[in-house]
Amino acid sequence: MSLGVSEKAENAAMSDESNSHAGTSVQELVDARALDATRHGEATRDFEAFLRSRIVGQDAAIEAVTELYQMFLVGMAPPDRPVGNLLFLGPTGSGKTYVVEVVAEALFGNSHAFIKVDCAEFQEHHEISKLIGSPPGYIGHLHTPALLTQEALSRWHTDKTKLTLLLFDEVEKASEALWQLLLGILDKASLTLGDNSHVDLSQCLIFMTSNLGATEMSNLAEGGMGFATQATVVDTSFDEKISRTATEAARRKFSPEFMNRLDKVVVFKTLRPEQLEQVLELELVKVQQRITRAVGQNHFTFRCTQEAKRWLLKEGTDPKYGARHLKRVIERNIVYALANLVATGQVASGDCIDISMKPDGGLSFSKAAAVARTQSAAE
Amino acid sequence: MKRILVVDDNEMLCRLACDILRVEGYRAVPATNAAEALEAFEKEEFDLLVTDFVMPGMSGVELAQAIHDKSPGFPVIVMTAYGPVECEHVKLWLPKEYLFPRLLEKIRLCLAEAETKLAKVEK
Repeated sequence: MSLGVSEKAENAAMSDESNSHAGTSVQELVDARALDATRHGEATRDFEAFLRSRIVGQDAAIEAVTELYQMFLVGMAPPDRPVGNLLFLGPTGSGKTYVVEVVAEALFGNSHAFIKVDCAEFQEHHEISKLIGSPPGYIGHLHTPALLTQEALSRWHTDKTKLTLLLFDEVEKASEALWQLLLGILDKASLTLGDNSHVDLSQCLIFMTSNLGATEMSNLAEGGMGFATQATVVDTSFDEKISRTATEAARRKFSPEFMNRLDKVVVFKTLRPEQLEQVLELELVKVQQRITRAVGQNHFTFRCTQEAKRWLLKEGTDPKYGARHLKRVIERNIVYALANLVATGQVASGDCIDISMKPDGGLSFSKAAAVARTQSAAE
Repeated sequence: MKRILVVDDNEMLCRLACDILRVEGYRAVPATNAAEALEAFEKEEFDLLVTDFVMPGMSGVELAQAIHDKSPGFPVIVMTAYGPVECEHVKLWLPKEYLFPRLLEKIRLCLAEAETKLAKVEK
Protein backbone atom coordinates (compact mmCIF):
# COMPACT_ATOMS: atom_id res chain seq x y z
CA MET A 1 0.00 0.00 0.00
CA SER A 2 1.39 3.41 -0.84
CA LEU A 3 1.74 6.01 1.85
CA GLY A 4 0.49 9.55 1.74
CA VAL A 5 3.03 12.36 1.88
CA SER A 6 2.20 13.30 5.48
CA GLU A 7 2.43 9.70 6.73
CA LYS A 8 5.81 9.34 5.08
CA ALA A 9 6.94 12.55 6.65
CA GLU A 10 5.82 11.33 10.08
CA ASN A 11 7.65 8.05 9.70
CA ALA A 12 10.76 9.88 8.62
CA ALA A 13 10.53 12.17 11.62
CA MET A 14 10.30 9.22 14.00
CA SER A 15 13.46 7.64 12.74
CA ASP A 16 15.38 10.73 11.81
CA GLU A 17 18.46 9.86 13.93
CA SER A 18 18.89 6.34 12.70
CA ASN A 19 18.32 6.46 8.96
CA SER A 20 20.05 8.04 6.01
CA HIS A 21 17.81 11.13 6.13
CA ALA A 22 19.59 12.29 9.26
CA GLY A 23 19.92 16.06 9.18
CA THR A 24 16.96 16.52 6.76
CA SER A 25 14.08 18.45 8.33
CA VAL A 26 10.51 17.20 8.03
CA GLN A 27 9.53 20.36 6.15
CA GLU A 28 12.27 19.77 3.57
CA LEU A 29 11.08 16.25 3.05
CA VAL A 30 7.48 17.36 2.59
CA ASP A 31 8.58 20.05 0.11
CA ALA A 32 10.68 17.59 -1.84
CA ARG A 33 7.76 15.21 -2.27
CA ALA A 34 5.01 17.75 -2.94
CA LEU A 35 3.51 17.36 -6.41
CA ASP A 36 1.35 19.78 -8.33
CA ALA A 37 -1.46 17.92 -10.06
CA THR A 38 -2.81 21.12 -11.61
CA ARG A 39 0.27 21.70 -13.79
CA HIS A 40 0.06 21.00 -17.50
CA GLY A 41 2.69 19.60 -19.81
CA GLU A 42 4.44 21.89 -22.28
CA ALA A 43 2.32 20.83 -25.27
CA THR A 44 -0.88 21.39 -23.29
CA ARG A 45 0.35 24.77 -22.08
CA ASP A 46 1.04 25.82 -25.68
CA PHE A 47 -2.38 24.55 -26.68
CA GLU A 48 -4.08 26.45 -23.86
CA ALA A 49 -2.11 29.61 -24.64
CA PHE A 50 -3.28 29.41 -28.26
CA LEU A 51 -6.90 29.04 -27.19
CA ARG A 52 -6.59 31.95 -24.75
CA SER A 53 -5.10 34.14 -27.50
CA ARG A 54 -8.15 33.54 -29.72
CA ILE A 55 -11.11 33.03 -27.39
CA VAL A 56 -12.47 35.87 -25.33
CA GLY A 57 -14.47 35.52 -22.12
CA GLN A 58 -15.07 31.75 -22.18
CA ASP A 59 -12.52 30.45 -19.67
CA ALA A 60 -14.69 27.49 -18.61
CA ALA A 61 -14.73 26.18 -22.18
CA ILE A 62 -10.97 26.63 -22.54
CA GLU A 63 -10.33 24.80 -19.26
CA ALA A 64 -12.67 21.92 -20.14
CA VAL A 65 -11.04 21.37 -23.54
CA THR A 66 -7.52 21.74 -22.15
CA GLU A 67 -8.12 19.13 -19.43
CA LEU A 68 -9.37 16.62 -21.98
CA TYR A 69 -6.48 17.35 -24.34
CA GLN A 70 -4.00 16.76 -21.52
CA MET A 71 -5.66 13.40 -20.77
CA PHE A 72 -5.43 12.49 -24.44
CA LEU A 73 -1.76 13.47 -24.69
CA VAL A 74 -0.69 11.34 -21.74
CA GLY A 75 -2.79 8.41 -22.96
CA MET A 76 -5.10 8.48 -19.96
CA ALA A 77 -8.32 9.06 -21.85
CA PRO A 78 -10.89 6.41 -20.81
CA PRO A 79 -10.66 3.29 -22.97
CA ASP A 80 -13.58 2.40 -25.26
CA ARG A 81 -15.09 5.86 -24.86
CA PRO A 82 -14.51 9.05 -26.81
CA VAL A 83 -11.65 11.21 -25.56
CA GLY A 84 -14.28 13.57 -24.21
CA ASN A 85 -17.95 14.48 -24.50
CA LEU A 86 -18.67 18.16 -24.04
CA LEU A 87 -21.99 19.96 -24.16
CA PHE A 88 -21.79 23.68 -24.88
CA LEU A 89 -24.86 25.65 -23.90
CA GLY A 90 -25.37 29.37 -24.14
CA PRO A 91 -26.79 32.33 -25.94
CA THR A 92 -26.38 32.68 -29.66
CA GLY A 93 -23.27 34.58 -30.74
CA SER A 94 -21.30 33.68 -27.62
CA GLY A 95 -18.82 31.54 -29.58
CA LYS A 96 -19.80 27.89 -29.02
CA THR A 97 -18.94 26.76 -32.55
CA TYR A 98 -16.05 29.21 -32.70
CA VAL A 99 -14.32 27.38 -29.81
CA VAL A 100 -14.31 24.18 -31.89
CA GLU A 101 -12.86 26.10 -34.84
CA VAL A 102 -10.07 27.48 -32.67
CA VAL A 103 -9.31 24.03 -31.24
CA ALA A 104 -9.06 22.73 -34.83
CA GLU A 105 -6.73 25.59 -35.71
CA ALA A 106 -4.58 24.92 -32.64
CA LEU A 107 -4.27 21.20 -33.39
CA PHE A 108 -4.19 21.09 -37.20
CA GLY A 109 -3.53 24.66 -38.32
CA ASN A 110 -6.92 24.73 -40.04
CA SER A 111 -10.10 26.05 -38.47
CA HIS A 112 -12.18 23.77 -40.71
CA ALA A 113 -10.40 20.59 -39.62
CA PHE A 114 -13.36 19.03 -37.86
CA ILE A 115 -16.50 17.12 -38.79
CA LYS A 116 -19.70 19.04 -38.28
CA VAL A 117 -23.03 17.33 -38.04
CA ASP A 118 -25.77 19.92 -38.26
CA CYS A 119 -28.48 18.18 -36.25
CA ALA A 120 -31.18 20.42 -37.74
CA GLU A 121 -30.62 18.47 -40.98
CA PHE A 122 -31.47 15.20 -39.22
CA GLN A 123 -34.94 15.93 -37.89
CA GLU A 124 -36.58 13.13 -39.86
CA HIS A 125 -35.95 9.49 -39.01
CA HIS A 126 -34.82 8.48 -42.53
CA GLU A 127 -32.22 11.25 -42.72
CA ILE A 128 -29.92 9.23 -40.48
CA SER A 129 -28.75 7.47 -43.66
CA LYS A 130 -26.87 10.66 -44.54
CA LEU A 131 -24.70 9.98 -41.48
CA ILE A 132 -24.25 6.23 -41.56
CA GLY A 133 -25.16 5.38 -45.17
CA SER A 134 -28.01 3.15 -46.33
CA PRO A 135 -27.99 -0.63 -45.94
CA PRO A 136 -27.11 -2.55 -49.14
CA GLY A 137 -30.19 -3.37 -51.16
CA TYR A 138 -31.83 0.02 -50.79
CA ILE A 139 -32.21 1.82 -54.09
CA GLY A 140 -29.39 4.30 -54.46
CA HIS A 141 -27.46 3.09 -51.40
CA LEU A 142 -24.21 3.46 -53.31
CA HIS A 143 -25.03 7.13 -53.84
CA THR A 144 -25.52 7.80 -50.14
CA PRO A 145 -22.00 7.67 -48.77
CA ALA A 146 -21.80 7.75 -44.97
CA LEU A 147 -20.45 10.93 -43.38
CA LEU A 148 -19.01 9.23 -40.31
CA THR A 149 -16.64 6.70 -41.85
CA GLN A 150 -13.30 5.73 -40.33
CA GLU A 151 -11.56 7.47 -43.25
CA ALA A 152 -13.51 10.67 -42.65
CA LEU A 153 -12.65 10.58 -38.95
CA SER A 154 -8.94 10.23 -39.64
CA ARG A 155 -8.89 12.77 -42.48
CA TRP A 156 -7.15 15.47 -40.43
CA HIS A 157 -4.91 13.18 -38.39
CA THR A 158 -1.23 14.02 -38.38
CA ASP A 159 1.74 11.93 -37.24
CA LYS A 160 1.67 13.96 -34.03
CA THR A 161 -2.05 14.32 -33.40
CA LYS A 162 -4.37 11.40 -34.00
CA LEU A 163 -7.41 13.13 -32.62
CA THR A 164 -10.72 13.85 -34.36
CA LEU A 165 -12.96 16.77 -33.52
CA LEU A 166 -16.60 15.90 -34.02
CA LEU A 167 -19.25 18.58 -33.60
CA PHE A 168 -22.98 17.94 -33.28
CA ASP A 169 -24.42 21.41 -33.76
CA GLU A 170 -27.83 22.31 -32.34
CA VAL A 171 -28.09 18.86 -30.82
CA GLU A 172 -31.58 19.51 -29.38
CA LYS A 173 -32.95 19.41 -32.94
CA ALA A 174 -31.83 15.84 -33.55
CA SER A 175 -34.39 13.16 -34.41
CA GLU A 176 -34.99 10.18 -32.12
CA ALA A 177 -32.88 8.02 -34.48
CA LEU A 178 -29.94 10.40 -34.16
CA TRP A 179 -30.36 10.45 -30.38
CA GLN A 180 -30.06 6.69 -30.19
CA LEU A 181 -26.99 6.82 -32.39
CA LEU A 182 -25.49 9.58 -30.28
CA LEU A 183 -26.07 7.72 -27.01
CA GLY A 184 -24.14 4.76 -28.40
CA ILE A 185 -21.30 6.97 -29.62
CA LEU A 186 -20.98 8.84 -26.33
CA ASP A 187 -20.96 5.65 -24.30
CA LYS A 188 -19.11 3.06 -26.34
CA ALA A 189 -17.30 5.17 -28.94
CA SER A 190 -18.60 2.81 -31.55
CA LEU A 191 -20.88 3.13 -34.54
CA THR A 192 -22.24 0.59 -37.01
CA LEU A 193 -22.69 1.90 -40.53
CA GLY A 194 -25.41 0.95 -43.00
CA ASP A 195 -23.09 -1.59 -44.64
CA ASN A 196 -22.50 -3.20 -41.23
CA SER A 197 -18.93 -1.98 -40.90
CA HIS A 198 -17.83 -0.64 -37.54
CA VAL A 199 -16.38 2.78 -36.84
CA ASP A 200 -14.19 3.40 -33.82
CA LEU A 201 -14.70 6.85 -32.28
CA SER A 202 -12.37 6.40 -29.29
CA GLN A 203 -9.99 9.01 -30.77
CA CYS A 204 -12.77 11.59 -30.99
CA LEU A 205 -13.32 14.67 -28.92
CA ILE A 206 -17.06 15.19 -29.19
CA PHE A 207 -18.64 18.61 -28.92
CA MET A 208 -22.35 19.25 -28.82
CA THR A 209 -23.85 22.70 -28.92
CA SER A 210 -27.33 23.80 -28.04
CA ASN A 211 -29.35 26.97 -27.88
CA LEU A 212 -31.71 25.43 -25.32
CA GLY A 213 -33.29 28.07 -23.19
CA ALA A 214 -32.61 30.64 -25.93
CA THR A 215 -35.99 32.30 -25.50
CA GLU A 216 -35.60 32.59 -21.73
CA MET A 217 -32.04 33.80 -22.19
CA SER A 218 -33.20 36.33 -24.75
CA ASN A 219 -35.87 37.56 -22.30
CA LEU A 220 -33.17 37.95 -19.68
CA ALA A 221 -30.98 39.85 -22.14
CA GLU A 222 -33.82 42.17 -23.05
CA GLY A 223 -34.70 42.82 -19.42
CA GLY A 224 -37.86 40.71 -19.25
CA MET A 225 -41.24 40.91 -20.86
CA GLY A 226 -43.57 43.86 -20.94
CA PHE A 227 -43.62 47.34 -22.32
CA ALA A 228 -40.94 48.87 -20.12
CA THR A 229 -38.00 46.65 -20.99
CA GLN A 230 -34.58 47.87 -20.02
CA ALA A 231 -31.18 47.39 -21.57
CA THR A 232 -29.41 44.59 -19.71
CA VAL A 233 -26.23 45.16 -17.76
CA VAL A 234 -24.07 42.08 -18.26
CA ASP A 235 -22.57 41.26 -14.86
CA THR A 236 -21.82 38.16 -12.77
CA SER A 237 -25.38 37.72 -11.53
CA PHE A 238 -26.62 37.97 -15.11
CA ASP A 239 -24.18 35.22 -16.14
CA GLU A 240 -25.39 33.07 -13.24
CA LYS A 241 -28.99 33.53 -14.34
CA ILE A 242 -28.08 32.61 -17.91
CA SER A 243 -26.14 29.60 -16.66
CA ARG A 244 -29.04 28.41 -14.48
CA THR A 245 -31.55 28.97 -17.28
CA ALA A 246 -29.49 26.99 -19.81
CA THR A 247 -28.72 24.12 -17.44
CA GLU A 248 -32.34 23.79 -16.34
CA ALA A 249 -33.51 23.84 -19.96
CA ALA A 250 -30.96 21.12 -20.80
CA ARG A 251 -32.10 18.93 -17.90
CA ARG A 252 -35.73 19.32 -18.98
CA LYS A 253 -35.01 18.42 -22.60
CA PHE A 254 -32.26 15.80 -22.37
CA SER A 255 -32.66 12.38 -20.78
CA PRO A 256 -30.59 11.42 -17.72
CA GLU A 257 -28.85 8.78 -19.89
CA PHE A 258 -27.57 11.55 -22.13
CA MET A 259 -26.59 13.92 -19.33
CA ASN A 260 -24.72 11.10 -17.54
CA ARG A 261 -22.57 10.46 -20.58
CA LEU A 262 -21.22 14.01 -20.66
CA ASP A 263 -17.81 14.81 -19.24
CA LYS A 264 -18.69 18.44 -18.82
CA VAL A 265 -21.50 20.88 -19.51
CA VAL A 266 -20.15 24.36 -20.26
CA VAL A 267 -22.48 27.34 -20.25
CA PHE A 268 -21.11 30.14 -22.39
CA LYS A 269 -21.23 33.58 -20.91
CA THR A 270 -22.70 36.61 -22.56
CA LEU A 271 -19.79 38.77 -23.65
CA ARG A 272 -19.36 42.04 -21.77
CA PRO A 273 -18.68 45.28 -23.68
CA GLU A 274 -14.94 45.19 -22.94
CA GLN A 275 -14.80 41.57 -24.12
CA LEU A 276 -16.64 42.48 -27.31
CA GLU A 277 -13.96 45.12 -27.85
CA GLN A 278 -11.32 42.40 -27.56
CA VAL A 279 -13.25 40.27 -30.07
CA LEU A 280 -13.28 43.22 -32.47
CA GLU A 281 -9.51 43.69 -32.10
CA LEU A 282 -8.98 39.98 -32.83
CA GLU A 283 -11.22 40.14 -35.89
CA LEU A 284 -9.40 43.22 -37.24
CA VAL A 285 -6.05 41.47 -36.78
CA LYS A 286 -7.46 38.49 -38.68
CA VAL A 287 -8.52 40.75 -41.57
CA GLN A 288 -5.00 42.21 -41.73
CA GLN A 289 -3.56 38.69 -41.70
CA ARG A 290 -5.93 37.69 -44.50
CA ILE A 291 -4.82 40.63 -46.63
CA THR A 292 -1.16 39.87 -45.97
CA ARG A 293 -1.63 36.18 -46.73
CA ALA A 294 -3.70 36.85 -49.85
CA VAL A 295 -1.45 39.40 -51.52
CA GLY A 296 1.91 38.37 -50.07
CA GLN A 297 4.80 40.80 -49.96
CA ASN A 298 2.90 43.52 -51.79
CA HIS A 299 0.36 43.91 -49.02
CA PHE A 300 -0.98 47.12 -47.53
CA THR A 301 -2.00 47.81 -43.95
CA PHE A 302 -4.96 49.51 -42.34
CA ARG A 303 -5.82 50.91 -38.94
CA CYS A 304 -9.08 52.07 -37.40
CA THR A 305 -9.68 55.03 -35.14
CA GLN A 306 -11.39 54.38 -31.78
CA GLU A 307 -14.50 56.07 -33.13
CA ALA A 308 -14.58 53.71 -36.13
CA LYS A 309 -14.12 50.71 -33.83
CA ARG A 310 -17.01 51.87 -31.64
CA TRP A 311 -19.17 52.15 -34.75
CA LEU A 312 -18.24 48.62 -35.88
CA LEU A 313 -19.09 47.29 -32.43
CA LYS A 314 -22.42 49.08 -32.42
CA GLU A 315 -23.30 47.68 -35.85
CA GLY A 316 -21.96 44.16 -35.27
CA THR A 317 -22.98 43.24 -31.75
CA ASP A 318 -25.93 43.32 -29.39
CA PRO A 319 -26.96 41.58 -26.16
CA LYS A 320 -29.34 39.29 -28.04
CA TYR A 321 -26.99 38.04 -30.77
CA GLY A 322 -23.59 38.63 -29.12
CA ALA A 323 -20.78 38.96 -31.68
CA ARG A 324 -22.60 36.89 -34.32
CA HIS A 325 -22.79 39.69 -36.89
CA LEU A 326 -19.44 41.27 -36.19
CA LYS A 327 -17.51 39.35 -38.85
CA ARG A 328 -20.17 40.16 -41.44
CA VAL A 329 -20.12 43.86 -40.54
CA ILE A 330 -16.32 43.96 -40.80
CA GLU A 331 -16.42 42.11 -44.12
CA ARG A 332 -19.02 44.47 -45.61
CA ASN A 333 -17.67 47.72 -44.27
CA ILE A 334 -13.91 47.18 -44.29
CA VAL A 335 -12.88 44.26 -46.51
CA TYR A 336 -15.21 45.11 -49.41
CA ALA A 337 -14.29 48.78 -49.19
CA LEU A 338 -10.55 47.99 -49.20
CA ALA A 339 -11.02 45.69 -52.20
CA ASN A 340 -12.87 48.48 -54.04
CA LEU A 341 -10.03 50.88 -53.26
CA VAL A 342 -7.55 48.36 -54.68
CA ALA A 343 -9.78 47.80 -57.74
CA THR A 344 -9.82 51.52 -58.52
CA GLY A 345 -6.09 51.95 -58.00
CA GLN A 346 -6.48 54.11 -54.89
CA VAL A 347 -4.50 51.69 -52.74
CA ALA A 348 -1.17 50.28 -53.73
CA SER A 349 1.43 48.01 -52.22
CA GLY A 350 2.94 49.42 -49.01
CA ASP A 351 0.12 51.90 -48.35
CA CYS A 352 -1.36 52.35 -44.92
CA ILE A 353 -5.07 53.14 -44.86
CA ASP A 354 -6.63 55.07 -42.01
CA ILE A 355 -10.24 54.20 -41.32
CA SER A 356 -12.22 56.80 -39.42
CA MET A 357 -15.79 58.07 -39.19
CA LYS A 358 -17.47 60.43 -41.63
CA PRO A 359 -19.16 63.37 -39.89
CA ASP A 360 -22.53 62.16 -41.19
CA GLY A 361 -21.97 58.49 -40.22
CA GLY A 362 -20.37 55.57 -42.06
CA LEU A 363 -16.67 54.84 -42.45
CA SER A 364 -14.20 57.06 -44.22
CA PHE A 365 -10.93 55.86 -45.75
CA SER A 366 -7.78 57.89 -46.24
CA LYS A 367 -4.19 57.18 -47.08
CA ALA A 368 -1.86 57.75 -44.13
CA ALA A 369 1.00 60.20 -44.50
CA ALA A 370 4.30 58.84 -45.81
CA VAL A 371 5.97 58.98 -42.38
CA ALA A 372 3.21 56.88 -40.84
CA ARG A 373 3.46 54.42 -43.71
CA THR A 374 7.19 54.00 -43.16
CA GLN A 375 6.61 53.36 -39.46
CA SER A 376 3.89 50.85 -40.22
CA ALA A 377 6.11 49.05 -42.72
CA ALA A 378 8.91 48.92 -40.15
CA GLU A 379 6.53 47.36 -37.63
CA MET B 1 -18.72 24.07 -53.76
CA LYS B 2 -18.92 26.26 -56.86
CA ARG B 3 -15.61 26.99 -58.58
CA ILE B 4 -14.77 30.44 -59.87
CA LEU B 5 -11.79 31.48 -61.97
CA VAL B 6 -10.81 35.10 -61.21
CA VAL B 7 -8.57 36.90 -63.71
CA ASP B 8 -7.04 40.35 -63.20
CA ASP B 9 -3.59 41.69 -63.97
CA ASN B 10 -3.77 43.65 -60.71
CA GLU B 11 -2.43 40.80 -58.61
CA MET B 12 -3.43 42.45 -55.34
CA LEU B 13 -7.06 42.78 -56.43
CA CYS B 14 -7.10 39.31 -57.96
CA ARG B 15 -5.90 37.66 -54.74
CA LEU B 16 -8.04 39.82 -52.49
CA ALA B 17 -11.15 39.08 -54.56
CA CYS B 18 -10.37 35.34 -54.37
CA ASP B 19 -10.01 35.62 -50.62
CA ILE B 20 -13.39 37.33 -50.31
CA LEU B 21 -15.00 34.68 -52.52
CA ARG B 22 -13.51 31.91 -50.37
CA VAL B 23 -15.00 33.50 -47.26
CA GLU B 24 -18.33 33.48 -49.13
CA GLY B 25 -18.00 29.73 -49.62
CA TYR B 26 -16.67 29.47 -53.19
CA ARG B 27 -13.54 27.80 -54.44
CA ALA B 28 -11.74 30.70 -56.12
CA VAL B 29 -8.65 30.32 -58.29
CA PRO B 30 -6.60 33.41 -59.23
CA ALA B 31 -4.94 34.07 -62.59
CA THR B 32 -3.11 37.29 -63.46
CA ASN B 33 -3.40 37.07 -67.25
CA ALA B 34 -5.43 35.37 -69.95
CA ALA B 35 -2.79 32.74 -70.77
CA GLU B 36 -2.66 31.66 -67.12
CA ALA B 37 -6.45 31.59 -67.04
CA LEU B 38 -6.70 29.39 -70.14
CA GLU B 39 -4.16 27.01 -68.65
CA ALA B 40 -6.18 26.79 -65.41
CA PHE B 41 -9.35 26.26 -67.45
CA GLU B 42 -7.71 23.31 -69.22
CA LYS B 43 -6.62 21.70 -65.99
CA GLU B 44 -9.68 22.22 -63.83
CA GLU B 45 -13.45 22.48 -64.12
CA PHE B 46 -15.04 25.82 -63.28
CA ASP B 47 -18.58 27.07 -62.94
CA LEU B 48 -17.90 30.73 -63.67
CA LEU B 49 -15.26 33.12 -65.02
CA VAL B 50 -14.81 36.57 -63.49
CA THR B 51 -12.34 38.59 -65.52
CA ASP B 52 -10.89 42.07 -65.82
CA PHE B 53 -11.66 43.85 -69.13
CA VAL B 54 -8.35 45.48 -70.02
CA MET B 55 -5.29 43.30 -69.51
CA PRO B 56 -1.92 43.17 -71.26
CA GLY B 57 -2.04 40.71 -74.16
CA MET B 58 -5.49 39.23 -74.41
CA SER B 59 -8.43 41.30 -73.09
CA GLY B 60 -11.22 39.94 -70.91
CA VAL B 61 -13.59 39.75 -73.87
CA GLU B 62 -11.01 37.89 -75.98
CA LEU B 63 -10.48 35.51 -73.09
CA ALA B 64 -14.25 34.96 -72.85
CA GLN B 65 -14.33 34.24 -76.60
CA ALA B 66 -11.46 31.74 -76.29
CA ILE B 67 -13.28 29.98 -73.47
CA HIS B 68 -16.56 29.96 -75.43
CA ASP B 69 -14.74 28.27 -78.31
CA LYS B 70 -14.21 25.33 -75.94
CA SER B 71 -17.31 25.65 -73.73
CA PRO B 72 -20.11 27.55 -75.50
CA GLY B 73 -22.38 29.45 -73.15
CA PHE B 74 -19.96 29.31 -70.22
CA PRO B 75 -20.96 32.19 -67.87
CA VAL B 76 -18.58 35.15 -67.85
CA ILE B 77 -18.65 38.29 -65.72
CA VAL B 78 -16.42 41.20 -66.74
CA MET B 79 -15.13 43.81 -64.28
CA THR B 80 -14.25 47.07 -65.92
CA ALA B 81 -13.10 50.58 -65.21
CA TYR B 82 -14.02 51.67 -68.77
CA GLY B 83 -17.82 51.73 -69.00
CA PRO B 84 -20.29 49.16 -70.35
CA VAL B 85 -19.06 45.92 -71.92
CA GLU B 86 -21.85 44.39 -73.93
CA CYS B 87 -21.14 41.52 -76.29
CA GLU B 88 -22.32 37.98 -76.89
CA HIS B 89 -19.46 36.50 -74.82
CA VAL B 90 -20.21 38.48 -71.69
CA LYS B 91 -23.10 37.52 -69.46
CA LEU B 92 -22.81 40.43 -67.04
CA TRP B 93 -20.45 43.32 -66.47
CA LEU B 94 -19.91 45.64 -63.56
CA PRO B 95 -17.84 48.73 -62.87
CA LYS B 96 -14.77 48.30 -60.69
CA GLU B 97 -15.74 51.33 -58.65
CA TYR B 98 -18.56 49.41 -57.02
CA LEU B 99 -17.08 45.93 -57.22
CA PHE B 100 -18.06 44.70 -53.77
CA PRO B 101 -20.63 43.64 -52.75
CA ARG B 102 -22.17 43.87 -56.26
CA LEU B 103 -19.85 41.23 -57.68
CA LEU B 104 -21.19 38.76 -55.11
CA GLU B 105 -24.78 39.48 -56.15
CA LYS B 106 -23.90 39.02 -59.84
CA ILE B 107 -22.08 35.78 -59.10
CA ARG B 108 -25.11 34.40 -57.25
CA LEU B 109 -27.36 35.45 -60.11
CA CYS B 110 -25.13 33.87 -62.79
CA LEU B 111 -24.72 30.59 -60.92
CA ALA B 112 -28.45 30.35 -60.19
CA GLU B 113 -29.26 30.92 -63.88
CA ALA B 114 -26.71 28.33 -64.94
CA GLU B 115 -28.25 25.80 -62.55
CA THR B 116 -31.78 26.48 -63.79
CA LYS B 117 -30.57 26.03 -67.36
CA LEU B 118 -28.87 22.74 -66.44
CA ALA B 119 -31.99 21.48 -64.66
CA LYS B 120 -34.09 22.24 -67.76
CA VAL B 121 -31.62 20.38 -70.00
CA GLU B 122 -31.64 17.39 -67.62
CA LYS B 123 -35.47 17.28 -67.68
